[in-house]
Amino acid sequence: MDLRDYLIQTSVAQIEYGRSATVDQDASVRHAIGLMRQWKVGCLLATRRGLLRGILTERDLIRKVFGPGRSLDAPVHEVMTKNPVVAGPNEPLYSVLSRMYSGGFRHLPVIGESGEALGTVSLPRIADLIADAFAGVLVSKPLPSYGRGELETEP
Amino acid sequence: MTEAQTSAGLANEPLSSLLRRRPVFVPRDASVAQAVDTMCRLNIGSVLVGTEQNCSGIFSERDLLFGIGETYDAVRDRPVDEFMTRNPRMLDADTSLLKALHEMASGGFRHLPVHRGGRPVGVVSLRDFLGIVNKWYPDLIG
Repeated sequence: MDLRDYLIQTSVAQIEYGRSATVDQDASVRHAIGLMRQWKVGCLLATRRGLLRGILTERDLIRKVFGPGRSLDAPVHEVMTKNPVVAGPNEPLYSVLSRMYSGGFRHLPVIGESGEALGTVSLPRIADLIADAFAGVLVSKPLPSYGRGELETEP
Repeated sequence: MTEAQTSAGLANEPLSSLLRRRPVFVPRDASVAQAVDTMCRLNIGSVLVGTEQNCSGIFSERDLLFGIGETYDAVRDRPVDEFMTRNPRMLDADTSLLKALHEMASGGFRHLPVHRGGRPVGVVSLRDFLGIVNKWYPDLIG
């Protein structure tokens, strides 16, 4: 399979899009940063009663919190990106990359049919897959396939 | 583009083809807040620390989030070189895109400084690679 076919035929659900994490949109930015550091993730899905309300990324933090000197006690919903562009689990990777390219995003929330947050698909993850795919070509291995990762949520 | 062509493109095209701007430096004694301000103002995810002749590190969004995080207010006036990534992995501008992509994937780097003759000439990010995929498959990614 060439890279083009791989991007067309592989869906979000077929790759490991885990290592995603959620935070309540009313939690403080300080709390959110603590979770990101604890879970070693570059973004959090901001939810309210389990439904996606926004996404909080490294870029939001630097541009809306650290840069302007906003208090870390501010609630997440004040600094998150609201109404984020999302991906569906059945969507092919090319479509996800296309949206990342046009919007300049590194992360897209993956949501289910009723709007529930399932996880996050990231550009680094897809870059890993492409690098692996070409390593596979060089040593004549098949393209990798991955199970779905687990969603981390606050206890 | 076929797999062979894509593979050849990745293997033959040099990293320098992704460079779009000169690297941005902050002095070693710049404060964390000054580095953050520079990143915000120029809308970039990392800055190099030092000078073109003597680059001692890179300070990125990752260093800010994971190395500083909630303690930002307490350390904002401290020198950025206390929190930067020292002696970062740097790739020669003639390195192939394939090797560079492997380096970024295996090392978990979002930003990779690029040098020519030991002097930094830019920083590439994963977003820049997305531009290459778009160039190859404009009908798919656009």
